[in-house]
Amino acid sequence: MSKLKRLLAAGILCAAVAGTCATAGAADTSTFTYAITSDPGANVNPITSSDRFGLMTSNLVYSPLFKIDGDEYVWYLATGYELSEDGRTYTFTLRDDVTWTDGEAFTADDVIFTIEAIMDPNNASEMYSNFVSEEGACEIEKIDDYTVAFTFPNASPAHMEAFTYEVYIIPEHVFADVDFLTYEFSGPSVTTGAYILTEYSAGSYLKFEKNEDYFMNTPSIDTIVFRIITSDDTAMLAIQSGEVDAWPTSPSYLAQIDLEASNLTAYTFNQGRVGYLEVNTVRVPDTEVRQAIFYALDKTELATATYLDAENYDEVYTFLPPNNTYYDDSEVEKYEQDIEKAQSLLEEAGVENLSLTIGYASSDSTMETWALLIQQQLSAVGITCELSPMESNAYYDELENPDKSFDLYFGGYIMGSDPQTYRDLFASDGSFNYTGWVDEEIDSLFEQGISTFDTEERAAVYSELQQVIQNDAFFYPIASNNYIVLINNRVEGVEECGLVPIYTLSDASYLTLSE
Amino acid sequence: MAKYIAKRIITAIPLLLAITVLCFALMSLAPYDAVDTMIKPGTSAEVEELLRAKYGYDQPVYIQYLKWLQGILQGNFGYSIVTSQSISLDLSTRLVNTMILIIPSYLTAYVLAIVLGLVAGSHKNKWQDKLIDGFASVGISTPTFWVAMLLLYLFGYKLRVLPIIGMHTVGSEDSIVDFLRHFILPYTVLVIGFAPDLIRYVRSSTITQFSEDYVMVQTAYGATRTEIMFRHVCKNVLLPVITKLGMAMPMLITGAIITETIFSWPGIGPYFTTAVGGLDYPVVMAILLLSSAMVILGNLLADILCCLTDPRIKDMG
Repeated sequence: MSKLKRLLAAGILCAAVAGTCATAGAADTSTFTYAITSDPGANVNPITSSDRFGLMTSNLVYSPLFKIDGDEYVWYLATGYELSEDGRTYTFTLRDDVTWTDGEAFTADDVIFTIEAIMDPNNASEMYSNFVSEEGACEIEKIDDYTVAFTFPNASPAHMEAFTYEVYIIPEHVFADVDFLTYEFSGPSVTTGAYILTEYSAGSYLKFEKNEDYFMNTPSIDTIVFRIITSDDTAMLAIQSGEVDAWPTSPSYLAQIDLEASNLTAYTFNQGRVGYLEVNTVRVPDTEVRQAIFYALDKTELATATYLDAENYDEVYTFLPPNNTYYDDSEVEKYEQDIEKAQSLLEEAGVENLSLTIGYASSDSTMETWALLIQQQLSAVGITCELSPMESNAYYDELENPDKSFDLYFGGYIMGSDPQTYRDLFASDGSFNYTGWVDEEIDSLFEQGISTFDTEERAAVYSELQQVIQNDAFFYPIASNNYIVLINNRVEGVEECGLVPIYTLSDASYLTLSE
Repeated sequence: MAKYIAKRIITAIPLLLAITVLCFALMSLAPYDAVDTMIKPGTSAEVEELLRAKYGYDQPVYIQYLKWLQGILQGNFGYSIVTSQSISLDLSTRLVNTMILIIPSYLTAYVLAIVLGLVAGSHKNKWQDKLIDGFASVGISTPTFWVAMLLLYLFGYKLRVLPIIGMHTVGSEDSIVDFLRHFILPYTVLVIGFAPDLIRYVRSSTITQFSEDYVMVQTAYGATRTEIMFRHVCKNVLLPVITKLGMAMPMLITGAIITETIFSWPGIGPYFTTAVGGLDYPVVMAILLLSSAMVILGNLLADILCCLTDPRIKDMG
């Protein structure tokens, strides 16, 4: 045996022994570890971050003016607001007892600075269109150190949501001369939120320490770590071995885990998402044919094939998610499967041996399953389907092409609480109207919806809108799938913390670790 | 010799340029770009326009390329389009992490392969050979991710003796023991990945050498098998094997992509694959440039080593 080989064997043996001798990684009683799948980057900041984990970081570290919880407002940095007579000016009063973690007082200057940064086109912020539209930009007026007024060019009930949708207030005295697009996180962040971002290790993790002076509540857990794990298989092992405490997952992984043995609980909540099938009305202009297609489909089979258990999704029959205040399917055409009706509609339309192309993103297994099932379901009424998968990014780009070759295609969206946020998907001039359908009634109903602030009047408008869209038979909602997070049972206070779409943990200061 | 090296390096530059042009051209042919991967339905058309202008997508392709080239020549790798981070900063940390993983494992595999290959080749068709060759065949056929997952499952989950994720436990960056515990599994996977191919290479080289005339001559002179092995065969076998070392240089950058992804090791691998998926061309181009430079340098190194170790080539060249 060569000397080298012996040396090598000895070396490996030493390392192994050292490994087993050291304490096997026991769960740290003061750290909560959350598994995330992609790296938010050193550029993470509330102005330019648009990825889920960058937004989670913003939510953990900074505070908004308020949050929307169903029909109510939960006030954070703001204490209340007043709406002017003409409905265009929102005057917010702010808390006067909040200090940033470096000792500076939080004032209206910080709020104005943040909104102005969002409205600066050079920052290319996602929230830009919340405050700037074709009709003009929002005007800001500082009334005093704790009162700010925002005036919009038009009156619309949808504006209120603009202030809370991904808007987190940042300190002016820290970011005043920073170029957001090249900004890189370097030291502990100056915050008003529950936790302070203290360390970022590229590709590995983000580390947060609790902010003792958090104005809403004193956080219990000392340290939170967002661990970057790109492989789902690895994350599944890690959550079961206790190396991470929380992991968002999918039904197929959930089905493989023994929750009791691993001391886990699966929290599922509605994330306001709608997964749908849409018809390219440019290529399939006949409404009867489209209705026939919808009557041939079996929605339950589609939903259970991909989400496995009824617990993992909610049924949905309109363009709004079922947890939306204005969701109303009481008088909407649900297209319950009716093969005979489908066949007779096709006959009436004088269509025989119809052949359709179904487009979908090849890396999306949910879409692929739906495509295969729909191909099968439509064959029962004599429609043959050709499947046309495309690479994910290329697929979404193709959807914007009015000459796309798909007859049927899939999508999914999570929009805001206000139905106005869905307008661009369905209005004739909507930038995300992939279907090519023009219906003036849809356009006028959307306009009516924001012409009044009265919730009852708005509800009536949106109920009608939901009926109209479903009657036009170009949009077929399949399911509203829940967000599933596996959390280790040693983490308590999840209810108080609140589980919400996008940010998952609404206020982590309420989480505690038992042991 | 110095002239030879200089000539090789100079001829390499146009080659590097050609590679970058090709890569850039191919990336710009894709029907979508980095901005498309950044926006969601909800981003207004105005913001999309602003983003495109910001990253220069509104200009013709060759101008974009020239701007990138200009940046490189000034030593500025630029910023990632998707994450807005400085690429040189990212690369410097990640490259180090990848090298920490690759260098020990490749060297181990290399030494192991020489030893095992020599043993197998000199005992051709006996049990040593069958065992080693068998192991090599199995090793070549098993996919890296499968071996990785198997080891993770066994040691990380079932037995709970080793950690599953990353390079360090958060907060224990200074601990060598902690690092070794994280290091041992990906290291093993990589050794299992690199060794078989090298083993078979050395083995067949050894077998060829043993059938040469000089071995027969030495046996006739009464030399023992071990003497022949160490004084004659070894050197002849090692010659092509040394060139392999040079050719393995590009592996320093891209040799462990799958392993790094499975173990969440913060190296170049996941960084590169994410960039490719997002059509983040500054990152892809930077890594490609480095990788191509490594290939060229590696080949050059292999040629030089060859020259130095084989007197026959020296005399000829």
